[in-house]
Amino acid sequence: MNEKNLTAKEKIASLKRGYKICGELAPGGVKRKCASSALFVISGYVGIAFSGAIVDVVTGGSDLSYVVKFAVIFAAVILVRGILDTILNVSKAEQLDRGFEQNGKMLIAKKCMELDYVRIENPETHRLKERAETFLYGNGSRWNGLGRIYYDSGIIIEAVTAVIAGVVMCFKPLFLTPPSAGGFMGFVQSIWGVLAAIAAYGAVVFFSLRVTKYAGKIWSAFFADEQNNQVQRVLGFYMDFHRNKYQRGKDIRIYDQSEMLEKEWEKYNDKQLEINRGIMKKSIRFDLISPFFFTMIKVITYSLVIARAAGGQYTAAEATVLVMSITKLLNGVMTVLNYKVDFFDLVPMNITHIYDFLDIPCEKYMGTIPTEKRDDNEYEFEFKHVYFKYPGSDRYVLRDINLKWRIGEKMALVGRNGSGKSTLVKLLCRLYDPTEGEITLNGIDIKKYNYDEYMALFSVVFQDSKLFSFSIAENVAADMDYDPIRAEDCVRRAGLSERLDDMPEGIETFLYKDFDEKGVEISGGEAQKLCLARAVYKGSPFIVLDEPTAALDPVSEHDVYTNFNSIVGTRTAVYISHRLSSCRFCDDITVLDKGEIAERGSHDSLLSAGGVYAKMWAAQAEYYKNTAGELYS
Amino acid sequence: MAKKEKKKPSYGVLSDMGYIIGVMGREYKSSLWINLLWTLLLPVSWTLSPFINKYVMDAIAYPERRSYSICVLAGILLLQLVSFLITDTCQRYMSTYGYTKLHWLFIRKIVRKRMTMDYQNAELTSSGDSYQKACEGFNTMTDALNMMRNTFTNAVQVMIYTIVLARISPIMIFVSGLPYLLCFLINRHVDGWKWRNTDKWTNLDRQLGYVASASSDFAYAKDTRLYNMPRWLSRKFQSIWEKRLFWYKKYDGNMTRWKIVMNVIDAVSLLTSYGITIYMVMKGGIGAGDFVMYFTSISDYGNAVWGLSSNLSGFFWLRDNINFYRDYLEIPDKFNHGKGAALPTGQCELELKNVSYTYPNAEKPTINNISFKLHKGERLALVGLNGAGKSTLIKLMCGLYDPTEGEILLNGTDVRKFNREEYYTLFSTVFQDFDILPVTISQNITQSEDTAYDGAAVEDVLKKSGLYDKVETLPQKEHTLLAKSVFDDATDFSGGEMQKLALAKALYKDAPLLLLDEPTAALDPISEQEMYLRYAEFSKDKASVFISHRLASTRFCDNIILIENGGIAEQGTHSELMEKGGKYAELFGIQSAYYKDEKEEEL
Repeated sequence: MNEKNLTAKEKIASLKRGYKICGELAPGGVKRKCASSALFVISGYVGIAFSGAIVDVVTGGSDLSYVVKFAVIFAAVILVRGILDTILNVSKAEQLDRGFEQNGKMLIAKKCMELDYVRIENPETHRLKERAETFLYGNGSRWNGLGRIYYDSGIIIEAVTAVIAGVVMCFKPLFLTPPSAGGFMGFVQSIWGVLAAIAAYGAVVFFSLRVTKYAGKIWSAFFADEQNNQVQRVLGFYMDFHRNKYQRGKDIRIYDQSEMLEKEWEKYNDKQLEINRGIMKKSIRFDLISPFFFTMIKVITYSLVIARAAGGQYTAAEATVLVMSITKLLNGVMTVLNYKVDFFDLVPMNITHIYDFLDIPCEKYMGTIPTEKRDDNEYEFEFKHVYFKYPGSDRYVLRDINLKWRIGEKMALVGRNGSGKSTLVKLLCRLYDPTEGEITLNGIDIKKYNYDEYMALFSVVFQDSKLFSFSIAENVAADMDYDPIRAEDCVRRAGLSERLDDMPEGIETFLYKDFDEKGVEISGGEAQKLCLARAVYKGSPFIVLDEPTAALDPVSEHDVYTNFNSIVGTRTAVYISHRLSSCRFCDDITVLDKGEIAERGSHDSLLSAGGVYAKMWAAQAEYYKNTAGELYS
Repeated sequence: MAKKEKKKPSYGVLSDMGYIIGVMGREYKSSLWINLLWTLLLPVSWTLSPFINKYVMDAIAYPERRSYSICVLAGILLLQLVSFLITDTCQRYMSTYGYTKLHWLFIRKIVRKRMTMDYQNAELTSSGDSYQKACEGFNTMTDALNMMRNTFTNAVQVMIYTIVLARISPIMIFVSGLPYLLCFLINRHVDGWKWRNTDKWTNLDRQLGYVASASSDFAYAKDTRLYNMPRWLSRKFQSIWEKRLFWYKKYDGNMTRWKIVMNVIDAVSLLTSYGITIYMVMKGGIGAGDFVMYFTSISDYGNAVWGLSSNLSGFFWLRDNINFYRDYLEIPDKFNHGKGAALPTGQCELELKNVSYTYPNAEKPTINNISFKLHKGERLALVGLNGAGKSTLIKLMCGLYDPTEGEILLNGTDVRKFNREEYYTLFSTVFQDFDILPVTISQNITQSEDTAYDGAAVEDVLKKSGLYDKVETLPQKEHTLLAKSVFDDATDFSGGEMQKLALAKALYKDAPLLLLDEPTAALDPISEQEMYLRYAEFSKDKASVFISHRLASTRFCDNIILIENGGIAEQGTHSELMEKGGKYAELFGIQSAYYKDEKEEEL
């Protein structure tokens, strides 16, 4: 199902791009490996010639001084080869090879950050990403993905060089040496004997190629197999789960989940073993053929050379050189042919999975109009008949939303869980585009604005906003370069003054202990405040707070509310909250219910209207009445 | 930390290899036999080349012995073929199947340990590196098998070639072996440098991994887009990578210098051994076939000596890694995991007597000399500011931590006397960091296979927790899988829904002690109210603790404890505390202020 049939042209294009990526990830890495491989071939043939020379001496063909000279040359060649290899390869090996891996990971990561947000919730994107990872730096990479190109291109060069050198070495003894005997020996010694041997080699090579190709297909299917990938995902989850989510150890113990978790993991491990057993059974036959081929080649070579030498066609020395050269030549041929299958069928096909992910288009209309930089912050957003449903879903999450928000006001968006509040915000800050209708800023469709400039208008604190295990200052500034005074000011304004004073290194303190022993663990409430500080630091005219006080204690909550004006300043703020108390100081409250605007107005007008808002308010306010205790007695 | 790393290794190489073989022998016998066969035959496959060359040469150069040579040659080729067939089969079996299974056996042990060890240790070993290192440890188990096999093969090769070369001259053994030994020492030196300096880059390696995976983690996608983070994260990666590169370059430089020395040694040794061979040949007595055999043996001998010595040094590296693994398995537990006192039946009460708790490596105690009693059937509210110690207190109560001072009594018995796993069965808890597992909804609630639970009870707790309506809209109802990141056909829950699921899980367990840590933080007002209204039902016949920042929740509790700086600041009922006009009244005042105007208007 994942078999792609590429034309020769596409294969070459795919390989070309593969080499280009290798060059970007580890500049010069492939070239260095190729150059040093070629050196090995040359020194190898010098060695063969050298052994020929000694055999000549042993069998009384030439004199000693010649051999001694040869030995010195040979040792010198070995030395030079070693030093050149050291300079070309060893001197950069770790930097390049590790760079190849690490930069590969980052290549995927960068693409992940560029993707249209709407793609992220699409399982197909996850699949594409996984496959790209497999063949870029994962377990399929070294086998027949990009890693193969990176590490093994040298082997092809080596093999091709070996074949060329081998042909040069073998041509004269095989074709140009006249037969010295008659009869059957004469046949073996003639060109026909050589051709017969070549035909035999050809047959072996042909079958072995078929086998390799077939086996390669089995493995490609294995790496691309959906079921296999699914199992890998589950196994990856559990591995990661135990590694990173130690907090879950509480539930594991209290709810005695250890057995269940082990069983679940084992279930998928068994599936993995089942899949592996299948592939083993399929592929083992092919593996067993190769020793036969290996032996056959030797038998043919030895028969030919021994027979010809026995007939007096060669001296012992010539025969030695010939046997060794043929062996090297044939190994080279086998390698080239095997690599033809791997490099020109499997690798180009597999690495297209990488391109499939990297080439996911950014379809979001990026716009060109610059946003107006206005000192008076006169911005007005308007939702005009906006409908939204998630891609692949039939259900509208938002229906016919009409809404006008003017800058400078404090607005609230309330509603029950799942009423569409967060989705509305995502539409506003262009994480999604409306399915129908449009959103305008100062009368112009927001899609038409330059995307980056438009995004600069918003600071959003999401319910599930994340912080990184870096320093507080970097987290707040979302950058490596930051204005320390401003960063500190934002942290303090967000209500973390006291905590900050406790920290040994102030805003340079690391969050969490992942990378710094002196790092600090922070509570959910503090994380929320830091996200708030980050939003303030960004300094956008429009600030959206999605449940900003959910995790805060009453005093911090109070801090946030009372400091709200100083935190938010002259900016426009949209509050999303379950805590209706937080809406009281908002000028304009929009109530969402099941994806539609149910009510809108000020706190007082909504209360007297007696609708959804009043009901929610009553539910919460009840507990703060003096009579509340009676409710539950 | 630094002290730990320098301590003497807890096990030696032989003990570690014995351990691996022991595990195979006990838990996966066939792998042991297959590896044994593989190990025994590998030297046969790899040591025959010089002899093949000898007989080919003999067949060419000596017509009088030709048919004999050809027969021997055919025999050797056949032997080589058979042994290759067998070793290849073993290799394929292990690489596609055996290693995966073996791997799992080792993972299972360590994960079991992780899930059952004292929770304190689980927390501690996560913030340090020891679990990470232990995980790398089981990755080296299969390396150890390869190493043992290769070492054996090399040892056999060295023996055979020694005999062969000694026939030319005993000096040959030293001349061709010594340089390889020197190279080995050099390598050892470079590796030693790497090993000594590991501390300098493990943190960098982890940071690199962290940046790459956080950047590609879709959970961060919203933030990365809104705060223009790609630039930051790429630069961050680049700056860490450059620091790491410094060490790689240093290593490469080191390696390059030594490698050139090795090249020189190599060339000198080659020249010497060929010299000796040629000298012996000139002296006569060595035939063409023998010469070719020696010629091939010299380089094979060197490689074998080299392989043998580098394997031997590899064992020390393996030992350190395997010891991380074994040490983790042997982290001692303090809790009683053996036989314990009989658990009380029926209602429970819990008493904390002068309990203090200081986190390991912390300077100040988080809980400071706290005493109170949670009576049978009592509903207790714990309130206080963020970081006051409420969550720690909950962990102490349910036995995840043991107090550093003082004691906790369950119906009058010190909880340390109970088997800890049995003690856990007395608790239903909802912690703040609730999460889902990639299994079905019902399995998330019941912890048991999809077929082996009480369907009516699941329906009941789903209704109680307010999740029933949501579950009914799902195509496979409570059999729907969770975690879209793992299964494409799964569903994901919002924060509020996950919290309801956590509550459903607690209710399903129906244990006599109910501990809820902020169970409504993610709920909307209506769901929150529903939960409050049902709380009396949830906590019927149980002793319960409710932690919340929403002080409204205290109104349906019998007793309120206000925690401040790890101690009890105030205690009493809502009206008592309000009358007292202390900290609680102040907090309540702050929070109700927003609702108060309204009330006054009503009045």
